[in-house]
Amino acid sequence: MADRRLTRRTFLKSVAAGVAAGPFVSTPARAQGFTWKRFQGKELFLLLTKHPFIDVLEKNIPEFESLSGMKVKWETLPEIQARQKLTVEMTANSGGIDAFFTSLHVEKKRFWKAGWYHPLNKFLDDKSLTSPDFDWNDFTPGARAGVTQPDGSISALAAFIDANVVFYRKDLFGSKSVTPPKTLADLEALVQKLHAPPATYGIVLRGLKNANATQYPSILFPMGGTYLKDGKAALDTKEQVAALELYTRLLRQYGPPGVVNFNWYECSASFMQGQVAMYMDGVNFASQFEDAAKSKVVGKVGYAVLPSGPGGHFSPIYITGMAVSSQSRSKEAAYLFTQWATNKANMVRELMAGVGVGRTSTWDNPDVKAKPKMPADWYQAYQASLKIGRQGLPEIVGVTEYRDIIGVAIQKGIEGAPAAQVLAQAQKEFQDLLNRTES
Amino acid sequence: MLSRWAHRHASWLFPAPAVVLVATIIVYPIAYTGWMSLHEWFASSLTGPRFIGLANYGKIVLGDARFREAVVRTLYFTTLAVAAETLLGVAMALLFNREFWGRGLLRTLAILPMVATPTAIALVFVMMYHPTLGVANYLVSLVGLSPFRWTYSSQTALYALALVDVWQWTPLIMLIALAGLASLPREPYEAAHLDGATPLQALWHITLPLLRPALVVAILFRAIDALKTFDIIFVMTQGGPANSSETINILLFNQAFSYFNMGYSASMAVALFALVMGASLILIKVRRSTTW
Amino acid sequence: MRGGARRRWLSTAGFYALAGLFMLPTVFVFYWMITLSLKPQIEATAYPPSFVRFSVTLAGYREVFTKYPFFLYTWNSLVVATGCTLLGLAVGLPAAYSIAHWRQQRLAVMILVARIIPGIAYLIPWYIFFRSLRMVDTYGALILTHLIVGLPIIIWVMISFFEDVPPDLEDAGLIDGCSHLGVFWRIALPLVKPGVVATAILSFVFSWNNFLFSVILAGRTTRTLPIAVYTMISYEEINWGTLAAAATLITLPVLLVALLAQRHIVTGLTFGAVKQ
Repeated sequence: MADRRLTRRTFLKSVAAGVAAGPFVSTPARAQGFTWKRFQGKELFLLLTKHPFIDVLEKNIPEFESLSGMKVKWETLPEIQARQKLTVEMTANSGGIDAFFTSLHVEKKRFWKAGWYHPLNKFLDDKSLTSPDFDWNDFTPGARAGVTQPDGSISALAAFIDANVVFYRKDLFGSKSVTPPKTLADLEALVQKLHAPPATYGIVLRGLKNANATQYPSILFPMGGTYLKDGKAALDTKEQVAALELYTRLLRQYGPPGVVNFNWYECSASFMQGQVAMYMDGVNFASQFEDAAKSKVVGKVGYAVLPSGPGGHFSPIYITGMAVSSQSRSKEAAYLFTQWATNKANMVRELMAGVGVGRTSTWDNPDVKAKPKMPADWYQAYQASLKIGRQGLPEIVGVTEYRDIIGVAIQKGIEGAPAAQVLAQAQKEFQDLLNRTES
Repeated sequence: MLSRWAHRHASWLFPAPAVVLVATIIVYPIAYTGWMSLHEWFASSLTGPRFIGLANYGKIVLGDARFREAVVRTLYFTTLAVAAETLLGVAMALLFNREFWGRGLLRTLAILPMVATPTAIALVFVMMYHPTLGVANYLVSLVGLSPFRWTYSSQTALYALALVDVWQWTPLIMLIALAGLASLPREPYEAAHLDGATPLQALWHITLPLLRPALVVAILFRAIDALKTFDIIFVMTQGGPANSSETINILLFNQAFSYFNMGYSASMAVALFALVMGASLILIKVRRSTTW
Repeated sequence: MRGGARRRWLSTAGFYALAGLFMLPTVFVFYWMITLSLKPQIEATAYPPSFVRFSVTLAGYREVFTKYPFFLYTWNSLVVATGCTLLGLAVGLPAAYSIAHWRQQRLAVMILVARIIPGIAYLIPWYIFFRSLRMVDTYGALILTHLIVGLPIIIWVMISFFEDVPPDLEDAGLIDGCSHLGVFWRIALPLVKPGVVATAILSFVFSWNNFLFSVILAGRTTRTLPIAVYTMISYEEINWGTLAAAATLITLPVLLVALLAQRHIVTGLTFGAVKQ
């Protein structure tokens, strides 16, 4: 006889069913299968981040409310403010947040160590809590790995995966008869050819410290460099020096003026105003490029996979997901929401709105294929990038500090300091950080 | 009876509500911050704060070059901004200290920058400062100069930020100076005129010294706020490029909400408080020692 | 023109030119903000920038009102700013009078301390404090915390005003049998009315613009306006038209208040400072 978990609720329900069924049924019915209405009447509070995935999700929350009979309240803030609010609430042990949108590339290890994520393994295995069509294995291996901690606990359900691709001006490339770079070796020559200031700058990449650390691996990884080797800082290897030199040289010589402090909005503004020939960043900025109300380069943008290099072919990926707070007083109910938010139906909605997701089946969905919001090469570049996807940032507790350390080094490099010198400094600081926080 | 008792104790009954209210609201934060500054804690729900005595303070004073640089930068930024605001404010006040058509309109326009939402202003300036798309460089090019980097270079970021601060707060100094000028006595000027003094000499020897008391109060409030400037730096450069515009308050915020280093950031808050308190006490003494 | 008249004309023209020059930065930035709110996104970042000739669109304003419960935010800001100002005056005026009358300098410095403490140091302890009182997402918490910024200003400026009240008048009142409260209410207060108006406006303005405390202590029902500006910044774009529209709309009420009472602000700030 299989051991079934019998909660009081299911017991009462089954007794009621037994009573309704007649006097002959006296044993409790088999434990409930999955039902959305299990926690009806409960109230959930969510903390969400201002993000295209959430923009689409928010519109459909009423559907969840009627499906589950629960009342959902939520607050949406920009990422930094959302994290600030989460921090204040969690340190005050308020129990006020049930589920939240988490940026794993920043928070994964930090929140795990602080005990803020409630592990979802048991919930996923529990057939009475997980809808039969949820299908955890439908998520890409990269997505699943991204939300799983070293001890095997699953901290969140993967929602959105950001991959880095190349955005390029098809018209400018065409006029010079060039194609997007296949290798790093091609890259610089290509950029130089297209560089025609002040009308056109060859390339734009993020320069702002901390922000640049998510695009920098686009050059670092194919160059064969990495941030950690056997748990020790690896910022002074010759591959790393070569990578930093290339990144900073590209910007110093072929980037728009002031690029050293460009965040994504200065970069995308420059690109959309037609000032730059090439831009490498997260694939999600593309939806603006194709909006005539915002972009002067509508229809002229091509999408390609990042160039490969001596170290291999990679696309840095960053995962966000829906997590359940360890301080929530309705963890199972919160879990119902997180699985609804990342189920197949919602993921299809996201992709149809042009937001990339972590489920494999979504990409082949007939509706998505019938009404593509983005050009075909965007989907191709995105999917191809997911296949060569690699976590862009180290999975350490002090990842934000690491981003500042490497970020400042890159900025100094852009402003002319020798790569080996700034990396030696960064190496010292990074190793010191690891000693302090990784234990 | 009650009224007699109240009459005798009026000197503390009057301020009591305000004092009690302020004390209630600030006592817990002061205690919490002080307590936290003696501990090490990374906001974990699993492990509580660990007592480490004065180790955080030791690190601030001896071990953290980044903090020391932030202190220097904070003082530099404050001095720069407040000095510029004082000079410009006084100059404008001297210019406008007369009856002219449009005086009412002018005083209204002058205070607009002060009452606008700092965050919104900062965001507008972000776009204005864009090196190739911003209107600031467009205007610069009209005058024939080559474009500036504004907040997009570690050399110029702090100055570009100071410019925004000056734009926003010069009106405060100007208005105070204007009122001061309006209430100046006539006799010294008449005497100086009889003695054959030039307007410049009158300005230097009479006007400015008489204006000093008023100015010092204005400088006090401006200095307190400038030392703690956060909004514009956070929105516009986040302390960059390469930490070149990182002030103590920005570093403090980073330590708490990016690095989750609660204890350390608390000790920085205490240090910042000590710094601002010190500056305030100096200025208050200067104000009180100024004699006519 | 005769020599003297010519010189006067030149000096007047020179004066207005100089005055215009000084006021130019202020006027320009506000003009720019308003035009940004009326431009479509594609023209917001266009170069060369368009100053007068651009396509006008009200999409920014439309989006502000439809996407966000702007009226709710405005109402919340109004309630909090008004509540904070009234409370500030109610406790601050007597305190300022007392400090001026009985020369309680130490109390004045103590109040100033509240303004000196870095705002960030307040966040977590206040959250814990108000959470335990179940006061998060209430007007009460916001009003009390905004008071920290408004009360020091009210008190410090009003001290100078109260110091200006002739002591003979106060003494006369006391001799006539007035209580201290009576002297305060019937003699001192009417004389410092301009100061009261001025500090009320300042307190209102600083509360209206406060962002940091509201982010932490306000919830969905009590969200105030400055937060609305921040939510215009999304993950992948900054909606300039909507942002500038929100910024203009937020600034508008405060500017109107300032315009209507500009005389009082000038009096207040300057009066307070000139008196030692």
